[in-house]
Amino acid sequence: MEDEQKNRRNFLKFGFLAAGLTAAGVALNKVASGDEGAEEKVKVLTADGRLAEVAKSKVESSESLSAASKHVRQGIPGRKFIMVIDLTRCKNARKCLEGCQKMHNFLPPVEWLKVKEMQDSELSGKYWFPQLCYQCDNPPCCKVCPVGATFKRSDGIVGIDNERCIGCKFCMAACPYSSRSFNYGNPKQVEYSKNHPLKSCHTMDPNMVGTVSKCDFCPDFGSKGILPACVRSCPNGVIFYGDENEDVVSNGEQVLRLKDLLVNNGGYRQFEVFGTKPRVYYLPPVNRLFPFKPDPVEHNQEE
Amino acid sequence: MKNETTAVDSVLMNKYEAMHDELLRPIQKTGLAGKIWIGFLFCVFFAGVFAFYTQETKSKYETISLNNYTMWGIYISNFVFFVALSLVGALMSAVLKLTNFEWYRPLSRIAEVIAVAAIMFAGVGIIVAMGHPERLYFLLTHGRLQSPIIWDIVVIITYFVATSLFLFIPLIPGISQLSNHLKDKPKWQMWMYKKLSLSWRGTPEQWKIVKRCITILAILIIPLGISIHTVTAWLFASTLRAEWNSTNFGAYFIAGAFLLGVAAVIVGTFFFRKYYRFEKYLTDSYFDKMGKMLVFLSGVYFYFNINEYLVPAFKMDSMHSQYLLDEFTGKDAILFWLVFLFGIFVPAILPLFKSMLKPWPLTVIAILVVIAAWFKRYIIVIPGLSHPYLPIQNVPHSWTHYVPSLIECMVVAGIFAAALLFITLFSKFFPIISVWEVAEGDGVSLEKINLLSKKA
Amino acid sequence: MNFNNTAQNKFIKSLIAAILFLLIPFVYGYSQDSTEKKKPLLSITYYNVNSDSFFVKVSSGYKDEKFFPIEYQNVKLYLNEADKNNFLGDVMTDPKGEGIIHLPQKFKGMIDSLSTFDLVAETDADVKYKAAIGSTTIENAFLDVQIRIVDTTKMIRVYVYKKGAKVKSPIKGVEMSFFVKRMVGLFPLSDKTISTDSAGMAEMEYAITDMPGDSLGAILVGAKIADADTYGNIFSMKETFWGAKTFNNYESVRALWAPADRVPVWLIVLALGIIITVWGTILFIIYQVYRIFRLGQQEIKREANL
Repeated sequence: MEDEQKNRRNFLKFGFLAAGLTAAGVALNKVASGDEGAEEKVKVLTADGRLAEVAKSKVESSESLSAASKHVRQGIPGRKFIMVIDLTRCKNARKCLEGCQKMHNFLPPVEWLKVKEMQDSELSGKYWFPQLCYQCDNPPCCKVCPVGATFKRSDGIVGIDNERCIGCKFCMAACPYSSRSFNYGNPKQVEYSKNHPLKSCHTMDPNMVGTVSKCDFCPDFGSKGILPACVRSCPNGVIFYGDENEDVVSNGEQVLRLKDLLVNNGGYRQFEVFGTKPRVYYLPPVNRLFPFKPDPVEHNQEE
Repeated sequence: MKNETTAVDSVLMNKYEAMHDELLRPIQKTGLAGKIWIGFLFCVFFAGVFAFYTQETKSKYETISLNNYTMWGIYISNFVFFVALSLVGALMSAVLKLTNFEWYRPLSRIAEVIAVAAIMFAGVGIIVAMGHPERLYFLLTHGRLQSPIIWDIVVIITYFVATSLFLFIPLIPGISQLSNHLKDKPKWQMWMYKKLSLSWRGTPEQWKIVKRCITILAILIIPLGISIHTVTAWLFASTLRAEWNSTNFGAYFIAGAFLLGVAAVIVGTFFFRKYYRFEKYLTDSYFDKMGKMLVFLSGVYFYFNINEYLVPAFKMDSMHSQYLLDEFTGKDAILFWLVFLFGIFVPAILPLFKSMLKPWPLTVIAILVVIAAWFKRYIIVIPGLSHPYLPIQNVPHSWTHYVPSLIECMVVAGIFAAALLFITLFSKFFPIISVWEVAEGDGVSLEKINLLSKKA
Repeated sequence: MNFNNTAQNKFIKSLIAAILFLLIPFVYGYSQDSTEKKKPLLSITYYNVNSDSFFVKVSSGYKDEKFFPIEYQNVKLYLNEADKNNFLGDVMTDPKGEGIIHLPQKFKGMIDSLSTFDLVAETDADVKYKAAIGSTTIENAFLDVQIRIVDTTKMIRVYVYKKGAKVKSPIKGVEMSFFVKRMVGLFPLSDKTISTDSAGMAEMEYAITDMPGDSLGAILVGAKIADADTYGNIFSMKETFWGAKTFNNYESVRALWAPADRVPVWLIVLALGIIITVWGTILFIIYQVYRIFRLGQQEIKREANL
């Protein structure tokens, strides 16, 4: 009963709307305070070649959105995160995975989110296929983990406790979608991680060498109405994200009923035959917005 | 009549006394070749330790050549190989003993020591594959009963304890002999013999207990051995990957393990016979029998291979076809067919010729079988991993295939050296043939056997 | 001969590469000098949520045939004029050139009496960009959402009034849209907008029957001004119990994928059965080994006594 009241109080908070409405980038700012002179400054080289000196808190998110490790196994009460990927809209812009890498401090060639060129049979057309961790409801990875380092949360997310992971990689062998990455300690990555502390949305610490990491659906952002980086970065609105319990998903521009979207567009899950029950649905690549253009280059060639 | 039996008895007794004395020889003295061999094994072992240290202190990104697709490499395939090898204990001593194949007697200890060494270093082999070996104890503190890894750990530990007991208990009468007969040995060694002999006096009750324990263990070790390798097979079969998604896997692994076990015992017997000059006791006839066993087990293994490959190949569903075709005719074909040739066809056909059942040719065949068996595990574990259900795209070239790095090879070599070192050192401290079991097999009474150990 | 040819080719190629490489700084330097400093274009979007929280989205970029966002630019925001006393906040722009400034609580008091106000954004000059200033004028309006049920029809009604006026003055002809608030955004009740009448009123039926709410069926419904250029984005919401009652009690189940303390019962029984049997036997054997030792000790004593 007490819990219910608490949930209702959270529910009635209007303030989070702000974040949900606009594509908030890395710079989520606090209310301005007068005494910023004392703050630590860092120099950043911008894309257009300026050397900007900015307060450290402005570069990284200044608001701590979650105390990740404390509730990492619990899940966000009342939520059931879900994703719908509309294959009719994908044109291999690869912005989703770049956004993901940036958000989670990852350097290529590690991709938590991949865009693959697919063709189901010879006569049918090729299409682009964004693929991430499906947060399965019957997760093969969680079944095999010997120490409970990967687990299913109440909000549907398959999380990883990097402090617990012994690095046996059984979960990677068990995942039929190859969604998981192992941190072998790429020196470039280790150096980069040192200089780029984690942003606050993480449910896991993917920078820990010798452990497994993967897409975590950014639940701490999601529950506050901020769409995950991949959704925000996509120029074509391919990825819809939402709460199954609320029956509504959004790609940042459109806000749609989940059931209608799946029922009317033939939504399906990849390899349904495995019985893994993914929480990511696909809309088949029919009547596509963009004609399929083969990618002239292979990405991620550098080790 | 009574005189006759005494005469036979005394002939036998003389034989066992001589055998007993000869068995002490390798323990009493280590020749130059033995010293070089032991030194060599130590060098390889320390190189392996150094390689492991390098792997743990430097970035694994550079020291090992695994990636996000091929996440299990030769550490895991080598682990499977060692687990398979450990099954020999269950086969040679337990199965043959319970089915009254008396010729197991002089070979049982060789088989047991190979089994103990293999299961010990199988455990080590899985630790080196871990991302965080220092978190090994999490398996105890946070273990999930649902995970096949936990099952495997439990079975490995159980099997290790059971096999060690199976090695140790028949050794107790032998140890008491050692402490009476060895000369000029360091104090600690004699002290160790004294402690390990457990005040063995050869009383009828003591003999009764030893025999009962051996029978119970022989029965227990068979299901344990089968479980250990079946669960190891389940580490693969419990995933959804096409190449491992097989109900045949447990039996298929066990059939392969039995074949490997016999081959390993042939190799072990050959070298002990040659370098400890045990030709009198490990006669050609044992090779003849083991050669025939090799043929039989190759046939069984062939049968399971047919099940494993022909059935999915007949259907050629798209989940299986990608890796099957690569193995049959594609980039893994050469290794695949070589393993088939030397791992199954050679041991199935060549020992059918009488001349091949002699120690030398049979040992060559057995060595080929052992090598093929190692690569067989490699083929089971690795090529499948590079054929996931969703295509591998946009990755560095090195992520699309796997070639073990130098560090990985050194660690594996180190593990091999350690196992061989264990076996060699064991044979330098304890008799590698169980005299009383052989004597008992020939019908010598226990009282007479007791006399052997008492004679100074 | 062949070898010579390739060697020659290689040499010439590397020579050309070297020359080109040496030229780079000149080319680059020249182009650097010739570029004029760009003038950023600043745009300001105003948000008012339930007259309770206020924030502004600023974005910065420049136009050079295409629009280019400027990242890492400090944008300051003022009320009415760029003056220290009117400072509302500042933000560093993100890679999209955007940033959000949450307005301080005092802002509510500052605008309460104004019928219109200006939001002024300002950036300083730096090595690449000139100083820039941008502003937008907001007609200060406020929304009053009422929910009611006529017969069995659920209706959402909204009144739009001018703020800062002495008497209540409704605004006519503002396009309103209606929505249900969800985690990831506002779910529109209809694609169409409804224009306010002379009483400043617009109304829409809430026809959805199965929108999930909480355990009591509570959902937030509301209206917003779609005409953002004039009034900014103003939202107002009310709680209703029109949603479908849903119970999302998560129950932790015993399953193969569950945590260590949720092992299926059959597995516990099976595993414990096997472990107890096998280890029982092993412990029995170890006890027997101990008995061998004890029997030996007794025998030694007996021999000594003889």
